[in-house]
Amino acid sequence: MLRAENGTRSARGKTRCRHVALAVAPMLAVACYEGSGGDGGGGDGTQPPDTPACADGVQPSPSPRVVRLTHTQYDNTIRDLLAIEIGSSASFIDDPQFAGFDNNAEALAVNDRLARDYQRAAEELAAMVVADPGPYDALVPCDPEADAEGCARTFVSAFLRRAFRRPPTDAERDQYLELWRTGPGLYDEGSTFAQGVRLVVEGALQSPNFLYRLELSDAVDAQGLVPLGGYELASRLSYMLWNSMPDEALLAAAEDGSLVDPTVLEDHARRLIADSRALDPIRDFHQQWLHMSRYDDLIKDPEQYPRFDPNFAQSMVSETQRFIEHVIFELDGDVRTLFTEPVTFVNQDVASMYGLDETYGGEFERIELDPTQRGGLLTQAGFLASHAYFDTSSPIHRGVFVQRQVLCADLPDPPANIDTELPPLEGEIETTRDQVEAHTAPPQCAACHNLINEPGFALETYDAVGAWRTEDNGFPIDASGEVVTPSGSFPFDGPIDFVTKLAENPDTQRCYLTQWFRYAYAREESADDACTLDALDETLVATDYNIQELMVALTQTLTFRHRKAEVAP
Amino acid sequence: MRRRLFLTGACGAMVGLPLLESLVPRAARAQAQAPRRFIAFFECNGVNMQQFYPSTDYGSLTPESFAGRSLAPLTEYADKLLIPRGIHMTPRGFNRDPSEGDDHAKGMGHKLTAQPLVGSDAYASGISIDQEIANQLNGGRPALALVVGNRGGGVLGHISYTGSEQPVTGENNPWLAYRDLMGLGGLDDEARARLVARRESVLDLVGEEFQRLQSRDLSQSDRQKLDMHFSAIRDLETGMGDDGLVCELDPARAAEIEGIGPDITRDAEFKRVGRMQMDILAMAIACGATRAATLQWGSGAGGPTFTWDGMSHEYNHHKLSHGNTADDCSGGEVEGYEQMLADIDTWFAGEFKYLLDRLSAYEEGEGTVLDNSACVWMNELSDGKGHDYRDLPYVIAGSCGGYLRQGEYVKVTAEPDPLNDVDVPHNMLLTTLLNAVGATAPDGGPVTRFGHPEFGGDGEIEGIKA
Repeated sequence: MLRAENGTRSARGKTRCRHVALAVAPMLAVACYEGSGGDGGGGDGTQPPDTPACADGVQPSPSPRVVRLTHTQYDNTIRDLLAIEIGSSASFIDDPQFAGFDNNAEALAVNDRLARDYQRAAEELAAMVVADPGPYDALVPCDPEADAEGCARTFVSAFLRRAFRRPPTDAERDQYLELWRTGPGLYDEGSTFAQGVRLVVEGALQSPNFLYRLELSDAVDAQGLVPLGGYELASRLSYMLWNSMPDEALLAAAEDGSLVDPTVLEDHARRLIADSRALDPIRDFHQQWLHMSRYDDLIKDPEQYPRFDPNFAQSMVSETQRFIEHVIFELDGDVRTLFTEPVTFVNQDVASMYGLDETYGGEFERIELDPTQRGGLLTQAGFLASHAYFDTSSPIHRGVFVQRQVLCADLPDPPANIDTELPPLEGEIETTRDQVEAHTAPPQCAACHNLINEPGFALETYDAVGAWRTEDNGFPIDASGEVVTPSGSFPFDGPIDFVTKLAENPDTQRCYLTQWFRYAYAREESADDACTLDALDETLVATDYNIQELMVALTQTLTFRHRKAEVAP
Repeated sequence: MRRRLFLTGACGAMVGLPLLESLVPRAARAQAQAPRRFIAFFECNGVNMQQFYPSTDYGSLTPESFAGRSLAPLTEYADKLLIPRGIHMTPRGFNRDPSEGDDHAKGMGHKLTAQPLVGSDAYASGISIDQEIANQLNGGRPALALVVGNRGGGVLGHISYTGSEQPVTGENNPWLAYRDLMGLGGLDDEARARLVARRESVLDLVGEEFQRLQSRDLSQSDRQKLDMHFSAIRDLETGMGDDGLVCELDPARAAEIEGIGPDITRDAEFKRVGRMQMDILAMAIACGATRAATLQWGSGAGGPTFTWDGMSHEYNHHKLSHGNTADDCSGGEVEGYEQMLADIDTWFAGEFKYLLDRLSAYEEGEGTVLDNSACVWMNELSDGKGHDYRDLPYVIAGSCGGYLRQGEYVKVTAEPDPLNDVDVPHNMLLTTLLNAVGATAPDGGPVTRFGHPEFGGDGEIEGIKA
């Protein structure tokens, strides 16, 4: 189940009443770099002193070896393991969001409450398995009448191989066989054989070997690294690209040892990306990266925007997700395409925000947009409407999003308890841009707002619901300026020039890669990963940052296939 | 020893206290000193400070004190309430003390811990008093943590902590909460024996698997994850034994709770779920399942849109607390929001009264369970609009076995204006409450300071002690 469709989780990540405009913040302001002329970006070619020298070769990073399945992964794994799709995790305690994503291994722990949740789910699922001939026959591929003990042995070995995503040891198989023998008589229904099966399923679903991806390989190779075993790689690959367990082909490639060969791994990566299951992590990643949960619960001034309805939230999410799928798969596109393609998908809800008067239904239809007005993610309704006020645009919200999420700029939070009131529209203050410039002009504000405001100004041609406009408050809009990025700057004239240059900017492309790195590896990048990111960046530049190639490339790094020998702190 | 309590008439609309059928064994009643308990009734987003407090001067609370005020529904409990003024949160808000997270995060995470928030999750860096009480007095069980509404992820969804950065997520499903508490009580002996046997077999096996993993050479953080999970498994085991307490509600009420649908997080269920949770909480406190419990209504920076009991709001509690149509204050002003907030406060006062009614319905010794408890209505913030952390609204019901004053409105700060952050940090209230329930310092003496050593103050709030 996708987060976007789950009402109980959608509230997460919403901005609170934090005060967005800046007042006196001399201490925080120093964290905002001064621009391309400053010394913070490394744009002049010199290495900051704490960056490891990559000439020694790219090294893998310490990585967690005990990684709990996320709730999405739990549900998908149950679907693939038991052929039961009930979304058990809807009643689990929510996963925390950590460093931008809710799949961060560091934050995924099991406390008292979740252990009970797992127990309940295991008992419920095991009961369902034995009650339904479909799933049951798939798990028990032999005839217990002929040889119950032999059939049980076959069942336990085959089931644990898929539940643990590796073959069980002999000792494990014997333990679970013993559990099977314990089962009969402990339930008030079912054959003695099925009662044993039910208890084995209950047990396996509470086992750490099922609930965690365990990477226990510890043999050090000639380079002093620990290469991951085939089964460990199979799980890394399938949970990264499917958010689910490895399929039979992956388990077979793990078993015959071929998967440790990077070219075989690459072939499987491409195979998984081509499968529809890859849509799950792709949607989940973009949902979190683009803060789509913010699209919920938007309230707009009914006088100005009579056609806007807060119930459009799901349509706005679907529009953007459908667009992303189109770019990645149908166009086989690159990062630039994401930010520039003048196409989108509309239904009756979102059509009006693009000035389309034709009648649309509930289904999404592909439409060509005016390429002088629209191009890519930052010109879509959901982003623009969710980064705007009740009755006006908000260059500050839009600018903060561009700097943090698109450019990976290190922007501090605004200080608490400050005046957020923009000056009124009067006298020389004619437009929203004027208001923001006047309010953030004091030097203590300007250090950060020099970064924040300009990308917001570039998008001033879109109103509070994302509709195109040429005037603001009756005055012509100035959507020109110069954006400072972490390693440089560029001038722009209008939103299309802005998104085009932003899309081509190396900081944007590297940031998109970095966000994927965090999601795909379920951890934040460490200092050790700088060289890995450099190398990936170099590889991807050669592909024009093709997104499918980016996903493949993440499976080809040394750090994907190995871990550092010393124990992580 | 197995004790059974039946609470009946939980949903009856009768006047006065509901009917109670008390089956407490005589031996339990004859105890010289009944167990003393702590209960947090935790609300978010602040209150309308203008209309909240008694209108009378400091001193005795009388029915006049409540007339026309948000606390009016509590009038009949005037002689069992204690309302202190001038307590500020520690670590202090407005960035005066170093602590991660925004004002809402601090309001949630600091409240029961008095510890700064740390790390990128901004979780509190120490144990909360409910879990501290449980550690000392609960015989191995954690404190009961219940939630009404969404179980928010992250710091905004948590007030209870078992340790630094170890938040306890409360249960928001009354049926699951009740099932946990009644253990296997609903089953007949044979079914119960079979279920215990199944769970023991599974947990034995899984326990061995954990122990094998723990013997591997793992990093500290990987090991901690396994340790935490393993200890959670052990907790599941200890909850199953035959010596487990059996706490049960009246069967009709239990059936209603079992029938709660999947929509427990919808606003429309806020009140119904809240009342179920209060029945369960009062039952758990009364039957001895826990000496400390928290009930968290909604999450910081969230909360329902109130459309019942005379309210027909268009915006949720958090938006109204800012008088704004949007959660990030990007909307327009909500006309008349101050009165809407006062109406919400009045509604919560009514729900607090419901909880006091439940606790009073259990007789204990010469009095009731309420008399042996400190049932504290507390809030994330004081003035929600400004995210203020000063002059926090506290209403304490029950004397906790005679430890606390009763029937008084008392200024505990020496400053003339209670809106200050000078002399009464809220960790002193937490210290007082710990001693009130009988928790102790490691040396066995009274607790002299709870919370972080560098924030807050030493000692108790003398002005609230009997």
